[in-house]
Amino acid sequence: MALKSLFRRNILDRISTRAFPLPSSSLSTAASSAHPIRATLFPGDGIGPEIAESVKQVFNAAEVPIEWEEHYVGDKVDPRTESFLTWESLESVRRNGVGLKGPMATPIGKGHRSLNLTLRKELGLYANVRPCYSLPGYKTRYDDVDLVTIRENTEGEYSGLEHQVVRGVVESLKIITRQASLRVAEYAFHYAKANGRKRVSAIHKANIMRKTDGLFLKCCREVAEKYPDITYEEVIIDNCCMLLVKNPSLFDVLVMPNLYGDIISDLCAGLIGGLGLTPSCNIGEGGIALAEAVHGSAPDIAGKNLANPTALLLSSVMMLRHLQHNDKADQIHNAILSTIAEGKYRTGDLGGKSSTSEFTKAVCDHL
Amino acid sequence: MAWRCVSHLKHILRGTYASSSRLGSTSIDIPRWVTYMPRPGDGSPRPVTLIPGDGIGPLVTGAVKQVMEAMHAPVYFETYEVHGYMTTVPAEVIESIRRNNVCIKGGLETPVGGGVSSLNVQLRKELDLYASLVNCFNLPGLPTRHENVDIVVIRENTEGEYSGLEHEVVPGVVESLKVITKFCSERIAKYAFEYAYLNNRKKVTAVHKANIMKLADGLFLESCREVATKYPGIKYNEIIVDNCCMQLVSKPEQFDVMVTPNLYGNLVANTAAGIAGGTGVMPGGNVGQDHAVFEQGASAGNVGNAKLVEQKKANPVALLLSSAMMLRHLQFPSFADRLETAVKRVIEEGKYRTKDLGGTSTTQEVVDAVISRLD
Repeated sequence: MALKSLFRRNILDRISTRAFPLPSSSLSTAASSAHPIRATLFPGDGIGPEIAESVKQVFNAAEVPIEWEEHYVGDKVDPRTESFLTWESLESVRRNGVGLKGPMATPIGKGHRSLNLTLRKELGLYANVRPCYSLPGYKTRYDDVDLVTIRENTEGEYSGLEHQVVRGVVESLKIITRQASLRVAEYAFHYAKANGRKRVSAIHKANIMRKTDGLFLKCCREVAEKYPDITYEEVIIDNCCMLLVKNPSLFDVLVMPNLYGDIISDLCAGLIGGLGLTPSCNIGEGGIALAEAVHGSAPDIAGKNLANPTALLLSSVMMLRHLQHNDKADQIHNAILSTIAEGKYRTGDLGGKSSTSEFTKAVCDHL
Repeated sequence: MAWRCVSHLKHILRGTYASSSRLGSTSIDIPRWVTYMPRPGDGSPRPVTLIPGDGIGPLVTGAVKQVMEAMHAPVYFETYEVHGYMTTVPAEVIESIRRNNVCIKGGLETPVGGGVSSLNVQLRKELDLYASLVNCFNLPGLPTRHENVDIVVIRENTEGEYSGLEHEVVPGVVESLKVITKFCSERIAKYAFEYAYLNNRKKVTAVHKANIMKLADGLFLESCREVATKYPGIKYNEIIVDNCCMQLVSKPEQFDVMVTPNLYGNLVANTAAGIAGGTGVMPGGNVGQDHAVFEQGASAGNVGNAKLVEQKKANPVALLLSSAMMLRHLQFPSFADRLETAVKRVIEEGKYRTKDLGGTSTTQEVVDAVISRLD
């Protein structure tokens, strides 16, 4: 059964590559600044609408030429997507090529897919990019972090293929394909080059999983040859964990399979102060980019004007960078950093007393 | 060699026990009311299999030998050469460990992507050393970014992602099997709770990714929950592995004993070792029903670089603390205490530290310092 669904997926993958060929130019959407940007916005649940409002205000103040298409998660399952997300929402992201997403809480129950999984599968979001840098002025135990984690998002341990062999013995399949590995490696090097990064480290456990992680490494090496001016290295995951917590400044861009990416990207977020400060962007086929806040929807403080919009704001900056609106991106980015560095307006999670709207106003003033 | 001085040893042994039974005779202020009461013949020297290993291995195992000799510990070593490039662990080595039940080893290098499988893993499987234990704690006097770290990571050592079952389905598509069994999950959970119970630990945390791997990690959790019900005095909770790593780097003091499947344990132990001072100081070992192999706690396959070997500057602290664990395992608690106290004193004084701890000392200098601090 596993085999059959694998074949099917492989064929599907092949079709989708034909539909969206992948020369490096298609990795980012080029936009001329004459036309307004159209972007899909999923405010999400819980604190989502508040922090999305904050992004809209900052974009207004910075005079970013943007039109938001707002989409909310539906209250019943759309049969076309088997999820609470409607087909129209997904169509909107496909049409616009970019989107911004707040935290979403998947309602508990059967008969539908998780919201994040739906987005990932339907939009073919194959890479998750998370820059992690120490925010000046906000003290944590680590003040020299400046790295980017790029995680393969579609296969590996998250294949969902599991079965019970006999009672008390369970098998779970980890799938690594050449196509998906090449694709994420390609993106990692493209990202490193486009952002002036010097080094790409492939994170693996090929000393134990020789064939699967071995294939991943082989693909990374192949791509590395095409980028002679970027240093390429390979680090075993356990050593990587140790080095990250001892001296995070050793790393620059990290590219890795799904599970390792999940663990390492959260570990890195922990280094700089938590998920509330970490931006994230998902890259899909044909240059789709869905920026998102990876923190939870925090229902306990929803609607109280207490949420910290930093993660979503920084994510929206990533979206602008993806669209190559670098001036506006820098302007907003610097405003956020200086607001936090100044320390006058900080939300509760950073040890301050400000409300979401006060923080937002401060960011607008710093533009 | 230690066994040559058995007669001398017995004399010293007598002295040690006599002195420790007197009140307040040691440096610790608490008077010892109850002493360790060995059975007749417990003082006879025991054989221990020694595998120097690759890279920094011979250096650090050499350190252990010297210190053991200096304190006249009732052990002697049967040394065997094993190297990472060998295809299998030689039969006589396995035999020796089976006979002696106890082994101390340096790291064995694992070539990446080659045709040979990791000898570290092979040894664990062959001897069914199902539990790997790494103790990560702050050493007094060694500044780190985190304080109050005292974590024991207990990792399932024989199955999971390390099953070694992999194949190419079609060209460009590779599958790897992660196998979780009820039997192995149960016995590791039992070991973890028993460890917590015997060592007066208060909490056991199971690390998993059952939100994604619902069946495999689900089975692991189910087994942990079942065992937990039998230890009402020990708190039990569960944490997802990515959140676990994030919590480790921000609030490590919340963790006590952690029980994990194979791969997560590898990552969690290394992260925990990193926040508490690095893999160079964290002791650990692999334990099965009958045998135990003691090695550097985290990163058994990491044998250091050539420069470190050439300059002879590897950190022997991890393996020295592991050998203290071994002494305790052999029921020589006072030797274990002496060794541990000496190592901790050297670290606390801060004069002799290797490069990974911010010093410049060589391995030999650290060893000499430890020997001079033995009481």
